[in-house]
Amino acid sequence: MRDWLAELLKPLAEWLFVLVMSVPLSVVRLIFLGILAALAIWALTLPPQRPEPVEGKKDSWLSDLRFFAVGLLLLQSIFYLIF
Amino acid sequence: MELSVGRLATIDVIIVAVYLVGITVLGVWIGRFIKTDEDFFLGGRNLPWWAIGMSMVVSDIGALELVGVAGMAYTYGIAVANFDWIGCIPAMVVAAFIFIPYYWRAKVFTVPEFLGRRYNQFVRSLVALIWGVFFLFMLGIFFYTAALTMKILCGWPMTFSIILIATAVGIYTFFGGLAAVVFLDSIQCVILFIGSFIILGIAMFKVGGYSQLVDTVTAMGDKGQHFNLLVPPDTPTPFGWACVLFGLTFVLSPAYWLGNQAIVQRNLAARSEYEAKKSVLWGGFLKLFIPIMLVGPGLAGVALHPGLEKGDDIFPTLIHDLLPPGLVGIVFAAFLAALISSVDSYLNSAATLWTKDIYQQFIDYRKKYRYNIFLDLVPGLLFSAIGFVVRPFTSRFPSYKEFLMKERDERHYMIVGRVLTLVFVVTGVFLAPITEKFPHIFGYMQTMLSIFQGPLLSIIILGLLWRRANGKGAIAGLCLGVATSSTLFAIQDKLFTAPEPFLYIAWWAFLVGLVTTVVVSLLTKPEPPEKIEGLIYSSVRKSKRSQVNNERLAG
Repeated sequence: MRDWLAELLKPLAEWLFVLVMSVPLSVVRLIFLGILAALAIWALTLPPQRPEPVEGKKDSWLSDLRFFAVGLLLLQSIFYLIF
Repeated sequence: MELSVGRLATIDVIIVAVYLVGITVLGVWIGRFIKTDEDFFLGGRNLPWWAIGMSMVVSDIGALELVGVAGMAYTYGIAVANFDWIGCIPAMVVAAFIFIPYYWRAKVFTVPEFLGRRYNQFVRSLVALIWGVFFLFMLGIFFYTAALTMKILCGWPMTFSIILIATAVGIYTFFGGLAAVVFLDSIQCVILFIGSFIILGIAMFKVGGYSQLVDTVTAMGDKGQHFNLLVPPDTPTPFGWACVLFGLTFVLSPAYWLGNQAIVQRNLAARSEYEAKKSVLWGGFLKLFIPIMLVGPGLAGVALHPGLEKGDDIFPTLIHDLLPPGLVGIVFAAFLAALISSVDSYLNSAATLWTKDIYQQFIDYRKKYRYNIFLDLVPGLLFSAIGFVVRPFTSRFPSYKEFLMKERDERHYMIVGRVLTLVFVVTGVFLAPITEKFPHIFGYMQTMLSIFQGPLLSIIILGLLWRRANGKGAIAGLCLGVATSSTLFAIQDKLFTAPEPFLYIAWWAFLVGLVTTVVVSLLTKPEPPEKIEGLIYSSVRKSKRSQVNNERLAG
């Protein structure tokens, strides 16, 4: 049963392996960076992520968590650019 | 003035002893403020974001990672850092803005509780059981890794080390619950960072800096593999880019940060929805430093101690060889901090799951229905056996029926949580020796996770994002997904070229879980709109009546 199943799935596994092997690492790096960039853009499209307003206290834009997230993703991108 | 306790000098022993006694006393002191189950399991939903973020990160880095990730870096190179970078940051951002706010607003204790509300009670019980059993095995692994390092470092007997850690963690988690876990984790996070950077700094100094490290390792015959984050799928590592992207980034990482009870439970304890989100992003920021702390020593080890038989030996070997007395104590305390922070988290979460999703569910269900031989036989016999032993000493021990029908308050569930904490500590101690049979500890943990994390993620995502997903679809998706991953594990040596293909397996199990849930949901009746109102992301985003939805979410 085990061998039969393995034989059945093997052609698909080999085809997928050849497929991913054909992608150059420079393109892979772009994909990884693209994911981080897409997430940063998505975060910016969200409504402002500020705390509940407190009477008499004005929030700075820094309290908006969207910018924190974008900063985080940018820092992360640097590592994938370097290594 | 060297002390006879293995490699540790007097000063090191004092540092470690002060640390262990200190956290235990602090945990017991926090326990004075614990009055209800909400206090015990969720810190009264009043914990600060900074402590939660630190606790999330340090819970994720157990001794398992100190030993395992450094070992993987030693064997395979920097590609293991993907686990903490692309394998954490994107998922944490998504969790912070989509999933965590939902859980927090729902005022649930556990992720399975949320799934129960979205799907049905069977899904809740099934997921809770899976996590509950997994956590128990994890406790065994954590105890084993600690004992292994202590044995290499100081020559302490494995059993002694396991009992020492189990006692300290057991006491403060028993008394202080999640509040003690989170606050002590934040202290442990600071110690861990200090200790890890000490060993990284000294190791890098010995090697002569990063450039020298690259030159030395390259001269040893490395063809760039140790210093590339992205490696081709045919390299003999479990970290080829394809499995990192599909298995880690798209499946295991999101499953971990938005579905793992031991992690998410902290966010549920935040003071506000804003602080819950902030805690995740703060955790993400700290996560950026983890590979530098953990992978760095492993890479330095390649130059300093080439040819080790087991990669997992490198971190303890570096502590053993590089550090003078005093610093050994600090790094050793950091190691203990890493270990303890994971054990306490899994211990507290296991107690939460078993109390809220299994015990409380069982009691509530039993109150509604008559005697059922399938449900009551085992607990009835167990209860009678305990009664037989206890009754000679107290006349207050109730019969099984009296026990089932008794009125229970929040304090009762807190006591159950504490009792289960004790039971699980003992269980973890007994499970520890099983771990010894697996050569790569970190891979072993990932293997266990990847069996059910993929299917679980599929039902969480569909539950929140797709109105049409229903309970039958979720059960089918979960079962078929787990069956897929189990089957693939059984034939992995004949199918995959990667040495530990758990990431590929997680990806396929996720896909099967996703497709099955969609197909079965479409073939069966949809959930009534009033049941899922406010539980679906799109409906809340479009709705201007967010307050109404929040009330609906809160049940």
